Amino acid sequence: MSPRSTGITLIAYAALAALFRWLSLSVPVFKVPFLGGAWLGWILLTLFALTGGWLLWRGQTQWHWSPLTLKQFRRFREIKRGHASFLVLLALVGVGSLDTLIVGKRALVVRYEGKFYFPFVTEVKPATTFGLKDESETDYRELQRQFRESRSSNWVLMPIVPYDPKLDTPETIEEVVMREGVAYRLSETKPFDGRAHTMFRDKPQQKRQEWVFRHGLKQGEMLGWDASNEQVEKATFDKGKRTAYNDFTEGKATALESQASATMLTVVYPPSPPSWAQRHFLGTTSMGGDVLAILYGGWQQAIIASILFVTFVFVVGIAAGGLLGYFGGVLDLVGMRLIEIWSVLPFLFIVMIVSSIISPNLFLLVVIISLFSWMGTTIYIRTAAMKEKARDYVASARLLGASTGRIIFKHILPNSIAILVTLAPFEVSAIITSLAALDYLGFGLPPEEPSWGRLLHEGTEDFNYPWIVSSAFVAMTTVLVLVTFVGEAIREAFDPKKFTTYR
Amino acid sequence: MISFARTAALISCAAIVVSCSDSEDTRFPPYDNTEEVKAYWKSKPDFFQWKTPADLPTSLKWENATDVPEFGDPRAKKGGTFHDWHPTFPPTFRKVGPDASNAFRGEHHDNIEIGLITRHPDEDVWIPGLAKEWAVSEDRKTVYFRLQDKLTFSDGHPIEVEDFFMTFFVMTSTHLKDPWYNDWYTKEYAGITQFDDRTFSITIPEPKPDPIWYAMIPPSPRHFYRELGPDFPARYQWRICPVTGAYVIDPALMKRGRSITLSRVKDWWARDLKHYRYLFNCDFLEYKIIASQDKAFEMFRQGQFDYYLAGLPRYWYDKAEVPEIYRGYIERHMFYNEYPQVTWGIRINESKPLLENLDVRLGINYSMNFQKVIDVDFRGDKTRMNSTVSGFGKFTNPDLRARPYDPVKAREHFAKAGFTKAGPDGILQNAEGKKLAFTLTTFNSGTITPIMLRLKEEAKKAGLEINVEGLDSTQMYKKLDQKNHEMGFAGFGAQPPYPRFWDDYHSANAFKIGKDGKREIVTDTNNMTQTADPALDPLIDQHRKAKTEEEVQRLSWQLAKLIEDRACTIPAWESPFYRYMTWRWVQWPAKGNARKSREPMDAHMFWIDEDVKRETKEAIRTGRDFGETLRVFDAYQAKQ
Repeated sequence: MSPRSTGITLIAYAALAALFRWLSLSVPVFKVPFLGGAWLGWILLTLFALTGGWLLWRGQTQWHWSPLTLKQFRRFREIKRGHASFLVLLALVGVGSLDTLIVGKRALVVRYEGKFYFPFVTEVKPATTFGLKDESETDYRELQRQFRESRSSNWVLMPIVPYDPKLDTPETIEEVVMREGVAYRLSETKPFDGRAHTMFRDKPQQKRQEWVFRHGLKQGEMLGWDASNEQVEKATFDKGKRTAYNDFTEGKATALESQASATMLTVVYPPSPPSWAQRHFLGTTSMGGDVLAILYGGWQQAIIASILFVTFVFVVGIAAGGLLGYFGGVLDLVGMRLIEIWSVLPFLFIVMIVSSIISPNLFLLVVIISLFSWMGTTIYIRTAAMKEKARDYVASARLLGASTGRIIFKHILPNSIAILVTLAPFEVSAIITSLAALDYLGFGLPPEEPSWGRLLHEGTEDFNYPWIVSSAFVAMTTVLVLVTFVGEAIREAFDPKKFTTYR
Repeated sequence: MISFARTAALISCAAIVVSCSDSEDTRFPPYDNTEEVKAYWKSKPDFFQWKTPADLPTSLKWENATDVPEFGDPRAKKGGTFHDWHPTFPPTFRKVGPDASNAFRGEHHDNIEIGLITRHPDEDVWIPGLAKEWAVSEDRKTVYFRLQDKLTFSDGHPIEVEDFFMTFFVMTSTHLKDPWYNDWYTKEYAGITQFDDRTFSITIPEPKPDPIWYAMIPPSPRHFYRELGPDFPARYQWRICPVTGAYVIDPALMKRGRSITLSRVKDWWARDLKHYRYLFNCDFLEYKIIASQDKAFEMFRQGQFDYYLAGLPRYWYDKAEVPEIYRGYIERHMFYNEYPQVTWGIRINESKPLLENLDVRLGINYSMNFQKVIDVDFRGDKTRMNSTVSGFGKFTNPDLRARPYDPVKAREHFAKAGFTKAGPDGILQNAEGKKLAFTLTTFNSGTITPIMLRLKEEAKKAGLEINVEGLDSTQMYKKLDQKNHEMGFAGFGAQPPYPRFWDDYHSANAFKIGKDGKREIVTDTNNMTQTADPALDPLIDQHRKAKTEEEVQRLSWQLAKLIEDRACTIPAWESPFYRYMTWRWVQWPAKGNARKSREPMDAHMFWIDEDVKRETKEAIRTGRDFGETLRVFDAYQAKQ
């Protein structure tokens, strides 16, 4: 992309984002600047627009990189594994920014009575909008089912994963069918174990009878209710045969038989295994949330956390490290001792204590973690600044009368940038693991937020549900491996020695 | 005696174990309070009295409950070691003072100590304990006790009447750092009188329907409390108090931080007595400290523990699909008990803005989908609690019903309170644009947090936003005690016999008039709803002073109804049974357990059959199948 097209893209993005915001539509990708609040959003948009304008004003048709940078780019591209990982990561970040377009409980498009609705970007629509009685938010999955059943011309288009990463735990109810006297869940081939019930035909919220099944046969207690939820009967079964029966209403219970619906239903208790029919592609958690949606939400958190964390750590690292390294002397002596003291504080414990007293959000949590993570970068930058300060070109710049600011910003920092670039991927993997560790221990984000750490915790608590732990494990290792490959490749690309032999 | 410890919640609080040297504490110089005690007794001549047997009223009707059926199982065999686990090492072995109401307290104190007289576990009668006979005065204010002939503490010291006198010195001492006990023993008792070295009486200030509940105080061994002084909490932190019961912590078998073992008292005074001879059968009770429930379950499966309380569906259903259960080596039991329910529920703080509005509270009540929690999270095993005084038998008002989940009704009530318009996120707003959002404070727990999130998700459908705030349990109870919460989810253990309203709903525990004449919040009380209703207060006072059980019942029903109308407490769920798994060598009485037990181990009716143990071990080796066993004891199930 040339500078001019970059400029145009930036301005167009800022304009569109501002327009959507003004129309109060939350469109994926374009709502990203506003994640940190309205003020920050408008500042970011202004910055985008200004940068774009500046690029256009300069009117360059090509970027002017230094030959050294071009060589580094070329070498990075030559390292196949790192380059491929970088592209995959970039694609994943792209997918992550699509948000409600691919993962969410709100429909993409609803066609109702000749009108189009786009619930995934608009404000919450009560179910009354679509002809239902309920004033609460429309359940679009249910709406889709109803439209299909009634074979009307109305239709609903859901995202690929029709579940939200947080606070979306619908009940799964499945039919139980009898095949040759043995009960099976509709989607399964192994005999049914669990509880099944029938409902009143006229009052579909009221259970009529409930049995316990063991290996497809009725076993144990049967309970029966009348339409006003009073228990009217009780029976005991053994291997499918009724061994005892008690009618509390003196014979009136049998009359209720005809009022019951014919189908037997069972509540599928979470967690449930992966199922294409339910569109739980990776199964559900023990609360009933969709694992894939939670993985997706966790990935979004990881991206945001990484950006924030790298920014914080680098800003502090450059400022503190540059000061200590460039000015040296007593400042360096005192500063380094403070850093040493600060480094030995047990970071995880302090974060745990803080987050058990307040329940932090993502921003706060990243700030707290950053408070204990800036020292590494600082020390690297300090070393680089010390090294560069002693070089001849700095001395000659000084002789020519360059100011301190010019020396730092024009000479020393640009020559230390390689360190920052190589450090960045490792900072990213550090924040992802720290967040996951805190969530795993239960001291991380608020409990409703999607998180990989919590998934891991839930999965390792109980290996009866392997889809939970394996999903979280695969997602996390994939991302960390990709990030590490990229980091390795960048380091190699920026290495002044082309051939290095380790001894 | 009943443990009246406040906030005796079911939750085990995380506790910091103070490290301490193994040898006898050298930090504390010897101290002797014998003279102090005597001076204290002398300073209150109306309270502490010494009389002669001739002073005993002649009209007394002595009771000894000879015709009451015995309990326990005559088949019970003595011996063996019972292996169990506990999530944390207790922060102290004291039974009073800071941290004393910890989760391990029951295992070495509440379930072990024998009271002066005790409640029959199956029937509504009293049976002899430390006292072989007792009598209640005509004015129902004084209870007379005659001690058993051969009574000793677990360390061999005889139990004497003056050990009961000592209890008042101990419990009213400010050195305890336990204001609750100080308050209780100062206000609830009017005197103690010795008649001879086996006979004494306790007097309470107001007549009660059954004064025995109040009069049965525990003895405090004088030789043990001799060093009670200003440094009591630290000095007594790890001292093991001699007990009246059958088990005492064995210091020789204790591994600090890892396990605690209780061993049976040699020549226990009650071992051959009726009602006690078939109880407390094992020689040793070993509690290993295992922090993770899941790890404990695996150890149970390996046979390292004999027993596992499987309240959560995860253990009762999912983890129970194992060969040890299919083949009957591990047996499952379900027992319907009668015990006051833990008051799980949401307390709405009426002193916070908007929440003082009855319609807002009613709306919140109708927005809480506890039925879905019960159906999904508990798989239908729990039932909805209908009022927060549940499980008190005839004192529980049977007509009360918890408000069901009903978003339409909730919205009606919210509308009455001015919340008519839905915002862009679907949450209701009032005319000033204020969102209908409240913070729900609760403790971080793998079980509770998901439930709170489900409530949050469901409440959204009624246009209400709940911000779930999960805190460490100590922090959370502090926040509730300080009345800083808007809504708080918690559960408190309740004890028989009567529901108690004063602690939770009397205005004296909500507000006081401060020095500047302004109304101030009273902190550190159980009135977490900040209820201060002039209509309730007189009834609560009457209830506290009621003289007959009929009056208590009438007032309890009336008060429960009035509190229900205020909609300040949203009852959550209750469990009419407990369920557990045991290896088949742990044997239980034919009826399962004690009717009025709270948990399977409370009554100590089980025993270990070594022959069955050998047989089972052999069967595991050869693969013999005993058949899956699920025992359901529903004789005491309340009729629905």
